[in-house]
Amino acid sequence: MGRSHFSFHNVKISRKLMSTEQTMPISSLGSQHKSESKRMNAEQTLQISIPESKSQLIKVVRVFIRKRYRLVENDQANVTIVDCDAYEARSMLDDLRQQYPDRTIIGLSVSDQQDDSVIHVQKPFSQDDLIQALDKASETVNPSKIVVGEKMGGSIHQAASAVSDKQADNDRQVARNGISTRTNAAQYNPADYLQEALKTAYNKSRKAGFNLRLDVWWQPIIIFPSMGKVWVDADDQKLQAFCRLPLKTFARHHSQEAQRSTEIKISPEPMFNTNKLSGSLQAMDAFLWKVAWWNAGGQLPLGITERQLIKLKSWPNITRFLCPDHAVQICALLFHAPVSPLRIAEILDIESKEVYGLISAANALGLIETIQNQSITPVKPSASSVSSTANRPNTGLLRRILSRFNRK
Amino acid sequence: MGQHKLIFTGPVGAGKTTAIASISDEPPVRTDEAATDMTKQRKRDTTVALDYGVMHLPGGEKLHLYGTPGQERFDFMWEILSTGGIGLMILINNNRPDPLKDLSFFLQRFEALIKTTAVAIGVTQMDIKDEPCLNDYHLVLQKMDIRAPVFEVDARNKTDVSLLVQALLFSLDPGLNLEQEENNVEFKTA
Repeated sequence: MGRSHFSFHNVKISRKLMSTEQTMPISSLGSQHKSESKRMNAEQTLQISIPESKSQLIKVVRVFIRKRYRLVENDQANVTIVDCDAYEARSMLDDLRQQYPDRTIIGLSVSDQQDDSVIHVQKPFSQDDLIQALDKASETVNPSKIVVGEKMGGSIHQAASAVSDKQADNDRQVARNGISTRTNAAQYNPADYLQEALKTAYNKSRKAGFNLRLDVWWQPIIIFPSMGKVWVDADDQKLQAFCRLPLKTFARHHSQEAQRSTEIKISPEPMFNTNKLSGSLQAMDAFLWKVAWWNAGGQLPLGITERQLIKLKSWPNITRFLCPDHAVQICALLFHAPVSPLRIAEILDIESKEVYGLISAANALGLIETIQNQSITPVKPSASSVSSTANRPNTGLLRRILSRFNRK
Repeated sequence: MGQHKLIFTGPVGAGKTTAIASISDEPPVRTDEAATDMTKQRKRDTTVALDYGVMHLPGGEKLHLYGTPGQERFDFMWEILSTGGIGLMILINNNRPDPLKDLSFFLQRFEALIKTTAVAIGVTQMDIKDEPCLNDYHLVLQKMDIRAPVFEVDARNKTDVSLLVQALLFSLDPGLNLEQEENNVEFKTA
């Protein structure tokens, strides 16, 4: 097959984010951050091309890599993503190898591939599958990638601070969008994080009707069900840092504390004057929302997949909850009709982690309904689908009104 | 030039006048009079005809913001004001004796507008009185088979009011997307 038989879409990928926080020693994250940044700057950026034949593939890849990477011209590509199930994929690969012998190829297929020269991603693939493949491709392009240890040291507070230091430049974005650099799985297990312990404690305190104290190897969290408030002696930055890691990871490295119990403790808290508490009382729902948001790190909770149809039972209190820029749009889509998380990211053309984070937080509050009958055809979101009534304003008008509001 | 209306309604003291003032491009026109009846127990002045504000839209169009008088004895104004509205914002004062009843009342009275457009509900004064909670409002909506966004709102806060208006707009068209393609790539053939 000659070159004229196919063409390429071109995607340049610059590695703005890396999954370092789970593989680097936590205690050394702060000190290693600067040197790592220099190293990353010295790395050759990934430049990716995608064969034209699969426009759907391009859309999916674009959604998956949005804002993390950027699209560029074909002649700069050093990585190509090929749909190996596509018609004439074999000749396409042969042609690629002939024209670009040094090019790294990522192959997508439903079956295992025998070709060792291709980085294989099995269909159906998730965002993290693709990111992992791209990281692997990056190692090929940049073989000097640092190998880091797994051991953590220091106290919880040092660890939390180190995480915060490392993320200093990124914290505001993470705080608003709930996006972390944790990318090694499409889903997270809420049971591993603070949110599940918090939910359990909420339920117990509401049922019992008295104050409870939750001890999770960190600051005690005190719940006042009658007031609908929760108290913890930590600011959002510390809380966010704590929320990034699984509870037992913190517990394992809580070596400076006297007790090393592996149990989460929920115990009655005697009544006392809340005026004596330092720090502020926070609304229980808003607190659980942001804890879940940070726990999720832009991932979906177990039980909800990227392509599963879900629905919002009712709108969250978005004026009082920590929300991303597109929270209103995401909620409107979820509230309107069953839709998959991935589809929302596609419709809004935003990074999927923003969508997944919000869904995780809403799910923690019991606001997400999963649709068991996946054969239901989701309604295409448009003015005409909401109602056929002639009184509905047209999309152009709505857009002009919307342009007057700063949605951030 | 396009002229469009957005309606704010709700009981006395819910913050309609304040909400309009917080997003209007021009100083709002108010038709307040000193309250002379039961209303004076809640506020000194009250709206007797309407509140009016305006937002200037790109292209020279205007979005007129109308606030209905809160007192029921001025309800003849409600239909006049709401005719041709693009949507309805209901503000409910959580510090009134029965805010859930207030919600039911206004949902019923503006049923025609809600059916042909959409509604968004903002609950004010929740910092003063947190019961009923938002879930109670959702239950009222559920009983009336109405699906709508409900948030806690401070009518003085422009961001809160903006979010409520945006929720209304996205309820009218969930697929609305202002942003242009960020990945403006011209795919070229090799």
